[in-house]
Amino acid sequence: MATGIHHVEDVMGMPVSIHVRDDIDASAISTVIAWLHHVDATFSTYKMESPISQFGLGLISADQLSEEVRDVLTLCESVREETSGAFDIACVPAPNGSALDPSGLVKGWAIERAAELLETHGAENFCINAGGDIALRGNAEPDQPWRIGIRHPTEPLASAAVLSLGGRAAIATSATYERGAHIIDPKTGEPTAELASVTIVGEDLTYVDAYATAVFVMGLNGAEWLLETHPELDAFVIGHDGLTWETPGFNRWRSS
Amino acid sequence: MPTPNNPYADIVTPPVPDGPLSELTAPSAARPSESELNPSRLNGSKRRHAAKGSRSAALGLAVVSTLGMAAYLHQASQSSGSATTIPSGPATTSTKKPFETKSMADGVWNGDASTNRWGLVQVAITVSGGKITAASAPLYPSDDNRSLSINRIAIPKLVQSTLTAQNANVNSVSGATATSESYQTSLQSAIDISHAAS
Repeated sequence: MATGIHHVEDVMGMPVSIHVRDDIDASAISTVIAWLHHVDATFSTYKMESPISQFGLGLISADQLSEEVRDVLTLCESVREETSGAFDIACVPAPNGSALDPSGLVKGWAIERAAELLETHGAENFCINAGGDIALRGNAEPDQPWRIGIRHPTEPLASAAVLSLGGRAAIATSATYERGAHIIDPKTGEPTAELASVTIVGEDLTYVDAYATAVFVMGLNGAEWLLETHPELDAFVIGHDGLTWETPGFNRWRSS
Repeated sequence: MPTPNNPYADIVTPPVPDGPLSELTAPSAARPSESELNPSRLNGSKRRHAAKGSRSAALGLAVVSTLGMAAYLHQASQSSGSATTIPSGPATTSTKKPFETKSMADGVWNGDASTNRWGLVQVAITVSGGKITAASAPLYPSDDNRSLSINRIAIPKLVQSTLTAQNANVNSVSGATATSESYQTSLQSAIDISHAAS
C-alpha cells in the first residue's frame, strides 16, 4: 500500500475522496476540506443563506456578490455561450426556488482549486474524486499513472473503460443512471436521454465537468461539437444500446 | 443491444438540434476524396496510437470492402444472433464472407469507406471465437483541415466480464455518483475503504 493520506469528506452534497500519495502535512487536507465547505456555504442552492441563493432569489444585488462568486457566474456565462445554451445555469428551478443554479460548474471549479491548494502544500501525486468527477496529478505509484475506471452505465461495479492518467488530468462523467437522476435540456426544459453517459478527459476539471454536462445534453452532436471546438479534449460516449463513441485521441489513455 | 421497442435504437440518426449546432453537422459537398483522405488520416491515427500496439492499428488501418454505418449497426445489434446479409470480405487470410456465415472467422475485418451524415466512414470489426469482440468506425467529418474523427466502438456483452475483471486494479472511478447513497454501493467506495483499512 502506498504511503500518503486518504480522506473522504461529505461536502457539497456528495462524497469527495482525496487520495494523496505524498507524505505531506495533514494540514494540507484540512485546508482543502475547509475550502470545500467554504464553497458549499457560498454556492449551495440547498442553503437559503448562501450568497448564490440570496442572489438567485433577488435578495441581494450583483454588487453585493464577492469577486469569487462573480467570477464563477462569468465562467458559467462563457460556457453557456460557447455551448449554444446546452450548458445553462438559469434554465431549471433550483432547490432554493430560484432559477439560478451554477452547481454544474461549481463542483469542477472547486475541485480544480482544491488540487491547486494541495500543490501549494507540496503534494505532487494525488487524486481528488468528487462524486465521480476527478482532478489528479502525478502518479498513483512510482512510475505508475492513476488507473481510472469509467463506470459502466448499467453495471455499477463494472468499468466500460479503464484509463491510465498521469501528470495533470481531469475526467468527468455525466450520466443519469442513478435512480431519480436527470439532466435537463435547457432548450426544452425536458430531461435529455439520448445518451447513457458522456465522459470527457482533459486537464482542467472546471471545463471538463461543464462540457460533459453540455455534451450529454447535446447528444451525439455534442461529441462532434467537442471535436470541432476542443480538439485538445477527449470524449467517450456510451449510448443506451451499448454502442460507444470516442474521439480519436481517447484510445491513448486506455490502460493496457 | 437494441430492441424494436428501444427508443434509442435509431441512435445512428439522431435529430439535428435547432440552431448553430446543425451547421456543424451538416454534410459538406466538398468532401475530400478517399485517396486524399485516408493516408494522412491513417498515419495520424497510427502516430497517436503507436504506443498502444497492434490493437488500435488493426482496427484503424486495414481496408477491404463495402459496409455502411447503418448496415454495421444492424450487424452489431445482432452480433449474438443469426447470420445477416451485410456484404463484406475478409481483410487478410480467409476467403469466407464473415457476415454470411453463422460462425464468423477470427480476425480483423474491414469495410470500404462509405459516407453518411457525419462524413466518410470506414467500419472495422474484430472477431474472436466467432463473435464480434470489437468494432469501430473512424469517421472523417467534412472539415478536413483538422484530423478530426470519431471512433465508434461497440462493447458487446460478451466482453463485459473482462471489463469487470479490469476493475481489480483501478485507483478511482469516474461516474455520476451524485449522492451519498449511491456512493456507498459504488466501486469508488470500495476503493476508499480499502485504503482506510490499510
